[in-house]
Amino acid sequence: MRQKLPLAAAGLLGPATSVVVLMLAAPLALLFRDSLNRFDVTELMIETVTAANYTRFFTETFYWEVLRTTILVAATVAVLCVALGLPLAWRLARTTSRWKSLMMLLVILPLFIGSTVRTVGWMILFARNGMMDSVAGLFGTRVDLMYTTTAVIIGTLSVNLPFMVLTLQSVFEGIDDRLTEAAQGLGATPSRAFWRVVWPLALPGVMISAILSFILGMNAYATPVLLGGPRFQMMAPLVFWEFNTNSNWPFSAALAFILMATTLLLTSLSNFLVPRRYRA
Amino acid sequence: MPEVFSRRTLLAGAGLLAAPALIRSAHAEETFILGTWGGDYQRLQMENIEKPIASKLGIASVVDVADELPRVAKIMASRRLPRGQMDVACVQAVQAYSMAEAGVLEELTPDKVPNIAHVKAGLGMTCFAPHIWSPQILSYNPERVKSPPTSFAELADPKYKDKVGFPDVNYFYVMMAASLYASGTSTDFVKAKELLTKVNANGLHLYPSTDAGGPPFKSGEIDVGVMWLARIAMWQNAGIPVAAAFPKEGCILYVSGMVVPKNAPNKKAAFAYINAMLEPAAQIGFAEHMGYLPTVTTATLTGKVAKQLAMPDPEPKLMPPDFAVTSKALPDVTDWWKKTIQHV
Amino acid sequence: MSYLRLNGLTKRYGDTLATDAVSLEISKGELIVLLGPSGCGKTTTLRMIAGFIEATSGDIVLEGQAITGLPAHRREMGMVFQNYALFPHLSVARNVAFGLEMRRMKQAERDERVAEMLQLVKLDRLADRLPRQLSGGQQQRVAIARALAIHPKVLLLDEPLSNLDAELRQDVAREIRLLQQDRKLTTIMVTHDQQEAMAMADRLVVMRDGQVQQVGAQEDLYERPATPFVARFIGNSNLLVGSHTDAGFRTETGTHIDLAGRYQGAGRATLALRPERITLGETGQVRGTIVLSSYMGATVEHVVALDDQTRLIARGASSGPAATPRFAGGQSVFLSWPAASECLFDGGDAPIPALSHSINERISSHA
Repeated sequence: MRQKLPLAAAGLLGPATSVVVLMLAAPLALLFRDSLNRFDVTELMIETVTAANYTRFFTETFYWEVLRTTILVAATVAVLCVALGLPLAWRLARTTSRWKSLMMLLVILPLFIGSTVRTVGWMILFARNGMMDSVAGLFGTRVDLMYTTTAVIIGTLSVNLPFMVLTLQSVFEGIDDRLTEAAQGLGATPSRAFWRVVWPLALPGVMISAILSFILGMNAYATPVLLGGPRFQMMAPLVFWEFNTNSNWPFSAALAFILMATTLLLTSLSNFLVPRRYRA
Repeated sequence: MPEVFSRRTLLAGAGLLAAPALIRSAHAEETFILGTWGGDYQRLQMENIEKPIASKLGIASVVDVADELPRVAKIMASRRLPRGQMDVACVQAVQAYSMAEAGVLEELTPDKVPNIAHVKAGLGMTCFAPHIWSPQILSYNPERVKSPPTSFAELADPKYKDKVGFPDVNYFYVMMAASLYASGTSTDFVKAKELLTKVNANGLHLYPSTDAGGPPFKSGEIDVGVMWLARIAMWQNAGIPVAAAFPKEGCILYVSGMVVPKNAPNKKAAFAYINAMLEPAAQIGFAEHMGYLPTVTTATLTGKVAKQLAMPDPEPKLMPPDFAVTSKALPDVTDWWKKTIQHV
Repeated sequence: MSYLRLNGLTKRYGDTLATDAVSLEISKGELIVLLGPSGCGKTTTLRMIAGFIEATSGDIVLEGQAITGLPAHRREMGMVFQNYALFPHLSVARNVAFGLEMRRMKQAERDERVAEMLQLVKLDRLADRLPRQLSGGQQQRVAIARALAIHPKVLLLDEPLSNLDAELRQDVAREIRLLQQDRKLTTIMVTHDQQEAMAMADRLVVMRDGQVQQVGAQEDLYERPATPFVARFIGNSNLLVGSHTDAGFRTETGTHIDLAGRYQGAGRATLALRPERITLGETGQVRGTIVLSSYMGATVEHVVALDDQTRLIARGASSGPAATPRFAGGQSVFLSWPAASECLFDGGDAPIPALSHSINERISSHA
């Protein structure tokens, strides 16, 4: 009987595994293969094995700067997401109000609208003579946020925040409220009870949602293009530029791989930020 | 040729898989596959070419909507198949040129497409039927700019400091315009780079899409720029204070049209459709709705649109891009643009 | 003067009263058990004392000081939660030290206190374990040590035995009681299990629908229940609803029962009879038919039908001088009981005093 178990397990995992391999691994392998090819103006892609596309990325400061901007924006958004999402998620998780489901709906509502449409909303706000600029005009000043890093950060933040609040809220709901009471009963003020008991327990979950936000930020496309403008360089728009405008598939494949590898690397490094004993 | 075009093979495969979805239930009329852009362009094609003219000839399109590059890639990928994926493909002249070079396009002659005989000189090619065209002009805000700009070089003039802007997507045409000013030809990119560097230093604004290039004239962010004459008409109709000035050095032309792949399954219908597209009524419809100029001598504009799209007298030098040179120069110019002009 | 006093403690949630004017006096070193079915308000009362719930009205007075408005972290109560609520990310020792850290006690003193507490609950060897590495019983001892470490003014136990295996329960109950007596801990415990309550309490508080039904020692509640509810909840009395006159008691179904005592007045009444005080024999106060006879080991239990709808349970010793004879199903028997074991309540559920016996005893117990 025992002998059969692994076989049965393999049988159950088989279909899902093969779907993943087919839909995810195979295209990735093809993409990686493309990244080793050579670009040619007329032939577009010449099959060969060269690291030239990667060398090009790592030897030109321009690309380093694009990668740095991308990481900077994604990390800033992740940190702001935690800072803004945490209090909101905490209130939502602990409220006993009968309006709770309505509040949840309000948090999720932005997800019903595509991120591009939301970005257009920001464009209306940020544009010269847009809403913010007009209001500032009443006070005799100008707000020129369009095509700035701040605009991209705000836009990406608005896209990521609902995800953050949702994950954090379920993290907090998984933490027994009795623990807070126990801490308070032992003499901890509400804030100390939070930082000494709830926070360490929530940390792995907070880390996961921060990583989620970071990954979304690293791969942001519509927001940097629309709110950052042509002069704002991030990796995902650069991949598309090389692919679509320049038709340089090998180099854009290499860019995509570098973006993915950087994201994976930073994500796994972030794991070390959580003390071992708190890890799930 | 030992190289294998793996991505094209892949695309061809994808095309074959998608093919059944394209086949509409067969009516009495003959169907053909029309590869085109979506949105307004496709809607106007339906309203000005197919409904009033082509359908009377007993042909009906099955539309394959995609961006231009995937469409080109699809034709290139299936070029060795006996039966292709498309009968008529809408492409810009530059793409038509490179596909013709690769030998995948059917020649369009008056015996196949009679209206080809009426195409204005300089717009067509042997394998390309031009559909719409528009000259590149200098755009300006007539409320704020009292004496209209007269040449591309004025974009670098300090009097327009921080007041110059255009959509980033037109960068290559802008480079050609700069070259035209600096050298009299459209292909001197060394001189074009020098001039654009000066324009950039003058506080150049770039916008992420063609549509985004209009509102800054209204908000006062910019006063001068580079645009298609067609867009100026559209923006004027939308209440944006903008006017066109024809640079004295001449205008680079935007030309877009249709091609027929050699392995098109229904060439007869394809030719009939292209012939319908070149009919004066169809041509005038596009001018009225999108502000593009007719490509045939038989179509004459009247009324408001004629005024909006009027050429100055004497007619400026109109210069189609030199496709043989530009397609080779494109990667270098693109990379330079990305790293120099787009880089703050 | 009482050590802890609850004065008309009321908690209202919308239209419902979770507790309705609960008043209680607790002496120092006493173990009080709040007892009642779920939803009776016992846990709400405990949580109001701990400071986790704010009272709608009423006072809590500790050592003469009103603490009603004080937040939980300043009340000096040691709470042991039903699920223990140990901090899962902290070791046993750090759990116990938590309250001391909050008081900024010096490291050396703190270590000493933690060691003392862990020794007290016999967990000194497991100091470095995490809570999830302990058994349920061990976790509970950590929770107790953690609560006691801060030398609380009152120890609050919320259903402390309910998460333990049945065989462990009695041992743990005894240990807690010994510890409490040894350290003279003023303790309030909440439970729904009357046996647990009887075994541990100095005094019991029976609650129902947010109200206190009766406060007293085990014997008070058992012998002199204040309401039919208490009679039922403590020791599962048989309750018969009907009316009483000088002639005796008549059930709603029409069966006449001779009462052992004599009572004032007449009218609607409820008669409570303890199963273990009913004797089956050939003569008695009412006649019935055996429906079921069960041998339970130490006791023998009979279900007796007085009429179609009225059934009583009678329980007696299975052996010894007072052994109950066993009857077969269908057999006709007479039931009898002493006057002291008979409780009669009027239509308002208030006890009707007997005219003929032990009036003095009743007065003295209420003093």
